[in-house]
Formats: sequence, structure tokens, C-alpha cells
Amino acid sequence: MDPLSLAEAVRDAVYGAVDSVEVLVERADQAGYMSENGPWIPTLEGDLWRVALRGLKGGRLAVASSSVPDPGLCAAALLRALPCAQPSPLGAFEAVRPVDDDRRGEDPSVSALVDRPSALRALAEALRARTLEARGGLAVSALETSVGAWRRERVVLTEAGAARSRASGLYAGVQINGDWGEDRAWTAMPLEESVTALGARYVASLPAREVTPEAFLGGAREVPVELSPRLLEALLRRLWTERLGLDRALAGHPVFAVGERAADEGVTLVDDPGARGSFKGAPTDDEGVQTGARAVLSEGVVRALLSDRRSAAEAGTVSTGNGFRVPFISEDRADAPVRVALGHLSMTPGATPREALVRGRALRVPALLGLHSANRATGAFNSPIIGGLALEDGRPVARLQPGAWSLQGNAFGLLRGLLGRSSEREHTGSAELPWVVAPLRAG
Amino acid sequence: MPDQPIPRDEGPVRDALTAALARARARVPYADALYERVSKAEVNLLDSGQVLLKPGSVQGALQLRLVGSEGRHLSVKCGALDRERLEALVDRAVEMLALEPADPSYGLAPIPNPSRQRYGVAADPDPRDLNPAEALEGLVSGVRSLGRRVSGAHPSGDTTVVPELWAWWQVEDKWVADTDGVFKSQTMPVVFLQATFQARRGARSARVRERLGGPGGIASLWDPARGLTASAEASLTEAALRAVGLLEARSLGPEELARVTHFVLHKSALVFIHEGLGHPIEADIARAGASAIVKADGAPAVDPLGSEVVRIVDGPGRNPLEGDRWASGFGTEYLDDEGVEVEPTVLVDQGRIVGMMHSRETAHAFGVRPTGNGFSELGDRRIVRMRNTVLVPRPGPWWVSSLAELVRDVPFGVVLHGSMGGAVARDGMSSSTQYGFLVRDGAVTDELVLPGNFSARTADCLRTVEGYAGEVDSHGLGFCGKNGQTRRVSEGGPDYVKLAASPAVRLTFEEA
Repeated sequence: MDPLSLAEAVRDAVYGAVDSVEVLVERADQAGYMSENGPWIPTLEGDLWRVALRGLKGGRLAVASSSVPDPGLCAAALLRALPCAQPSPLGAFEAVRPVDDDRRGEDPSVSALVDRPSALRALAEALRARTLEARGGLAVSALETSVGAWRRERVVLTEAGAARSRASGLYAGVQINGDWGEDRAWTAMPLEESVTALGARYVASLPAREVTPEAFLGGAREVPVELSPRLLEALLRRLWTERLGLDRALAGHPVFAVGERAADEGVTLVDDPGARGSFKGAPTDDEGVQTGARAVLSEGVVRALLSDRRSAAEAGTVSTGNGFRVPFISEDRADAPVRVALGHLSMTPGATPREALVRGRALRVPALLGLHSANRATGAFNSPIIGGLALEDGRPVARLQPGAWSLQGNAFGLLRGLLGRSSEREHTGSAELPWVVAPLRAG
Repeated sequence: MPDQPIPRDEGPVRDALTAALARARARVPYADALYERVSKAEVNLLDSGQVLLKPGSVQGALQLRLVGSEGRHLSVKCGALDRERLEALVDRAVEMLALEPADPSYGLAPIPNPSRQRYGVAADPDPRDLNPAEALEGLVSGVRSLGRRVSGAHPSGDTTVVPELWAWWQVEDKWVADTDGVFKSQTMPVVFLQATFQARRGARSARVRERLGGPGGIASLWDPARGLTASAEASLTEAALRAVGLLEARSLGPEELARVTHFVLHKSALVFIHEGLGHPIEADIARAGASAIVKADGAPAVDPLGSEVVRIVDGPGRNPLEGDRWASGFGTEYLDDEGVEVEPTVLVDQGRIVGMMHSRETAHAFGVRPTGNGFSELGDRRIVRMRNTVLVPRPGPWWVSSLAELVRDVPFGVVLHGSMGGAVARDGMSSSTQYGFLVRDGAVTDELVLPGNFSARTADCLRTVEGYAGEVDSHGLGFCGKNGQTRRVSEGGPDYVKLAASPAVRLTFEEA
């Protein structure tokens, strides 16, 4: 059974029992290799299913989920939920515009890698070998390596139609001595060199010396901090969503006002849940609403709040196509409520090359530990730095001693008063963002 | 163990495991299989007021491990129990296994007590047999009314408390079988409730989260006669009141932080034991060279790790020191996901590392018995995971009965409560704190301190543990992430743990 057939069978099985039905089905396969400083650990995953179901009956919403691809079992789960249905502003589910087989998120050569484990293994071997060759004077006591590929088929179906799409991805990463690491994910097949040289380039960029806050800054203080595109993306997704979601406004949370300045002039941020070549790009959101690009910040000014169908219905408007099942904590994606979430993000680059972004003493921070516990209400974060570097005139001169450094700031004010944005952008797989420099308290 | 339940609808699972293992056995010397199934009734109360009630979701997946000749091995995850699909996947896996070179160091320690088949606790009542809506809606009503009550009681008149709720009642079934004839199953009913109370007054807001639950039924949370049980209501009311209190709380400035002589961690703030001391004593992390405190050969890299009063045990069941003082905890299992009966494992005693947590694979590598710490998340590869990781001190003058006694000699300190989560790297850990109270001149004050971040350096953060107060239990409910897998766990200890301030532990506060 394929995902579309499963979705149709579930729809048919509940026909008549509900006024409107929505079925989201995903099937995924994956193959990969990882090494935890030892032999390769091959893994193969096949036929992984997620089925998320919603039904409307008499203005009430019933929800169910299953990971078992059995139409009878899935339908029974939804029918069992009908007596527990809760009031909903949704009159019906989206009239999904039929999409036969959208492949904007799939690269056939990446997808095929799932069936070519020998090719994945060769990439993993080369990545590990080149990383070790490049270590130079760095003492590598532990090297973890991973390479893998996945593919996914997804169907969003309502009684009006179904949108079927495919996606695939390749990932690779290294972690050195437990504290230092680099990983990448690609939607399109990268050059082999991009994968196999990932660790070597990273290791070669690491200075041999480690510094404490006392040694480098004379103690905790505000300092220019260059944030990586991936850390910036994490802050935007984790915290900015709280200020950009119409659902948050309706729940009484403070959100950005349309027209409010939330970033420096020159900062334009576009959200596109339909972006091609992105892990966050698909023809519809998880509610079947057609996706498209939308500037949420234009020249630093908030231009739009984002919505799902529920928040749009409550506000008397139409959904922006940002309704996604975003799991919190240990929720499974199929179990997670539909929440307003950002799609693919892109931010305008600056005019300064990355190497020239900072002068004097500064920090480069690729990741923060425990960002998930940052304060969503206030935007404050306060976390230990992972894999950070000390910079002198933009040049790495030392590694930040693990466990000795933390970074404090507020994500909501981060993009106001930036000290710089790089002219280069990195495609993280789900965003294209520049490196940004902000004054933050470190130590 | 009260009974030995047989998981319901076992036939199709047994057939699938038998088929997969038969296919594997024809091609490799050894294979084992795990099928996990979670039947869940769940409710969400979002802060928008939306209620989502899911009375009957089902998740399941199979994990198959093939061990070929000369230690070649491979993990396979499959979401379907269909015989043809499973056999096709086994064939693909065997092809992939052929790519592997020999790995003579690889092996799996034997499964102790291989003939015993049934483990766990029967779900009584079973949420699959009844409409759980009444109970789940009752939890929503209880939390809502509690929020209203606390809002209305505040004299300011302009304080609101908005509750969020996530609760579930599930039955976890699992089966473990292998090509040597082992066939074991476990059934575990588990309940969980997480309520977050956000207090708002004008532009200020603050939140406090409380988690309740553990193995067993919904009766620990909901009583048909009164709604929330008395103990649940008391815990949640305290959390809601604390959120309101935080609207007027303050942080500590750099000068005050420099004056702090002691941190006293309430048992709700002991996630640092899990993050900072538990993970580095997982044998797979140590073996990979990723532990700051255990060498790759299993020898302690730091000795002593902590002060003499530090003793850490992982596991449910009897406290091997003093009888059955903490027999429960959110991470409780009777059987791990490799068919190994769960044993309490002493990790640290008198401040020294004395044991590690093992799966069958790491037990073989280190030449020891498996400890029942091999777990998987729904079909994922089985890795070493914690269960209930608890500070269980030896009795002595350092262990007193009350907080007042514990802080009597503390000139200036802070009692830290709660956490919104933690994370760990090789050398350090970080966990948020939800609130705190200042200690001045040997007494706890009512000066409430804002949420902060407690970070610790793994190698020496326990060296300044001075004492404890109160009874031990496995209080903290958490969902531990490792290698992309999530697992229910708990951490705990005495009601309060006292550490002297040192460069190895830091408390910082977020910007306003």
C-alpha cells in the first residue's frame, strides 16, 4: 500500500461518519552509517509510517494518529475519537488543490542513495579518513562520524482532493572529542568533495589553544558575537515564532505588530514553506493549504503575522499556509497539534565579507547547549556555548574552553542593533541566512 | 512484581517476529528482534484555550538486529508488521551486511534468565477498554479551574494565570525475541501530566511548569469523585502560585552571585545528575571516548569524582543499600529492550565511579553482565539509556531531616527549584532553573529568585557536595534525548542537595 492509497482508504472508511476529514500520511526510508570512535554502525530503516487524522462532525473536531499502516485501524482510531470531539472554529477542512506528485523537495540521486548503501559507506569512510588526516596538531581522542540518506513520501488529503509530494535528504557530520563538531544536510546531491572534506576543513580551522573567559575577556562582559546561520535559524524558529504567530496573538501573548520595527533597516526575512530545495518546502502545509513565499520582515519592519487555519478562522482571515504538526518534547509528529510554524527562511545578506565582520576581540558561536529551555515568553536565552572560537580581527585564535563559556541575550531584540551581516549566506537545508554579529554578554 | 501480564493482540506480533527471525536465521548466525507498541489516550490544552483529545492513538515499530559472521552487525527498523515487507527488508539488510568488514570485537552478552517470558504490570483499568474522555476532560477542567482560582485570588485584580496541559495515559507493550529461542514481553501502563502556568500582569509574564506521573494508571492524577487527585491539585496549585510570585521576583546581580557560598538544589532541580553525571557513565559514551569522567577502557578518568557523600544509583527497584526506599520512577521498566531484566546499578559510591550502565553490546565489550540499560525508541537502534538516576546517599551526619538544618551554616546561598530542561556536552552540562529562594545567615528567606541557568563542569562539580536533607525519591520526570531517540526517564535524590560554590558550578540569569 502506498501513502495515497492508505489515505484514500481511511477517508472512505469514515465516509458518512464525519462531515469532513483530513488525513496526513508520511512514509519514510533511510540508510546510513555512523561510527562512535570505532567500527561502523550501519542502520537501515524501512516502511516508517505516520498517519495523522482529523475529523469534523457537527462543528466539533476529533483527532487521532497511528504509525501502523492499516486503514481499518486508522479509521477506527478516528471513529473512536468522535465522542471526544471538541468545539472547533473550522467549518470544514481545506479544499486541497490536487497535486499529483510534487518533487520540489526531492533529488532523485539523493533518494537513490537509500538503496545504495555502498555509496554511503564510501562517503563515510572518506569523511572519517580525511578528517583524521587533517587533524594536524589537534589531539583527537574521539571521532564520531555519520553519513546517511533518507526519502519521504507525503500525502495530505481531504474530501476535496490530495496533495502528494516527495522529499529526500543527505546528511553528514563529524564530532571531535565530544565537544567540537560540524554537520551539514543537503536536499540536492552535493559534490562528493563537499561531503568528504567536511571534517577536514573543520579540523583544520580549529586553533590548538583553548581559552577561558578570564583569559580572553578578563571575565564575563558584553562582546561582539558572530552567530552562525544555524544558530540564528534555531533562535528564529524556537523564539521568533512566538512573536510572529497569529495563534500566539489570539492566545493573548505579546506579538510583533505589523508595521513595528523588529530588526535593523536592511534586514528582510522571507518565510517560504513552499521553497524548492528545502527540507521546509512542500506544496502544502500539514493542513493542505497551498504554500508560498511571504516577507515577514521587510527592511526590518514586520509585514505579516503567520497563521494556521484555526487562528485564521478565529481572526476572520485566511491561513498563510503555516500550519504544521510541530512536536514539542517527546510528542510524535503525528500526535502533535497543528501549530503555527516557520517554513524555509531566507534573510538578505549584508555587504561585508564574513572575515571582515568583526575587529578586535570577538567570539564565533555555532551552537548553544540547551537552547530548548530558552524563555519563549520573553525571548531570553542563557546557555553554555558549544564549539565556540575566540576571534582576533576576525581570525580564530583559540577555542573556547568547553564548559567554561555561556552566552546571554534576547532573541526578540537580537536583530535590532546588529553590528554586521555577512555578504555570504549558508544554506542550512531549511534556511539561507548570513552570519550576523550582535553585542551579547559572554563569559 | 504483582502479575505477569500477556500483552493483548499478541498473535500478529509473534507471527511477524517469528517470520523475521526465521528469514534472518537462514542467513546469519544470530538475530534478535524487538517490537514496541504504544496505545495512548492523550489530551492537550493549549494556551489558546483549544482542547485536543485523542482517545486512541497507536504507534508501533520493529527493530531487528542481525549479527553475521565474525562480528558483522546491522540494525534494521521497520514500521510494518506485514510478513512480505519484513522479509524483503531482511533481504536488503543482509545485502547491506555483506558490505561490512569483520569486527571480531563485536558481540552481545548473553541474556540472563532467558526462559522467563512475562514481565510488567497489567493495565487495570485499561484505557483501551473504556472511553478515557471523562478522565482526560477532568484533567483539563481541573487545571483550568485551578488557573482561574489562582488568578482570582490575587489581590492585584489584574493578574491572570493561563494554563497549558499535556497529559497522556498509555499502555506500552514490547516483545523481545531472538534466534536462540528467547521470547519475552512486558506490559507497562504509564501516565504523565505536564501543566505550565503562565502568569501575566501588564507587560510582565512568568511561567512555571510542573510534571506528574509514573508507571500505573490514571488514578494517581484523576479521581472520578473529585477531579484532580488531592496530591496532583496541591502540586499544581503550588506551581500556579509560584508563577504569580515570579512576577515580582528578581535575579541576582554579579556582586551577589560572587557572594554565594552554597547552592541548594531541590529534588526538582536535579536534572544535572542525569545530564552531567549519568550520561558520561553510559558505557557506550565512555567507550566512544566521549566521556569526561570515564576512559574508553572503562576506568575512571577522574578519581574521586565527587565528595565522599556522593552515591548515585540508576535503576528502578530495590535500593541495594537500604531496602526498598524508592521503588518507582518515571523511567521504571522491568525488562530492557534487549530482553535483559533491569537491575539497579550503583554508578558512584563514596565519591568514586564504581560502575557503568550497559547494554548487551557494551557488556560484551567490557566483559561484564548487562545491567538492563539497553533501550530503543520505537524501532530505533538499541543504545545505553538511563532509567531512574538517583542520588542515594549512605546515611551519616551529612544527611539531615530538614532544609532548615541543612542551611544552618550557609551565610548566603540560593535554593533552586525546578527545571525546564537540560542538555549535556562532553565536559559540561546546562539546565534551566524555574525559581529559587535566597538563603541568608543560615535561614531560607521568602525572597523569590527568577529563572536562571545552572551549569556544571562534569569532572569536578560533585566535589563540593556537602550534604542532604529529606527522603529520597525519583522525583523528576523527563524525556531524555540521545542519538535522536527520546526516552522517559527520571532523576532524583533526597529532597535537597547542598553544594558549596566552586568554579565548577555556575548560576546565571537571563536578560530581562
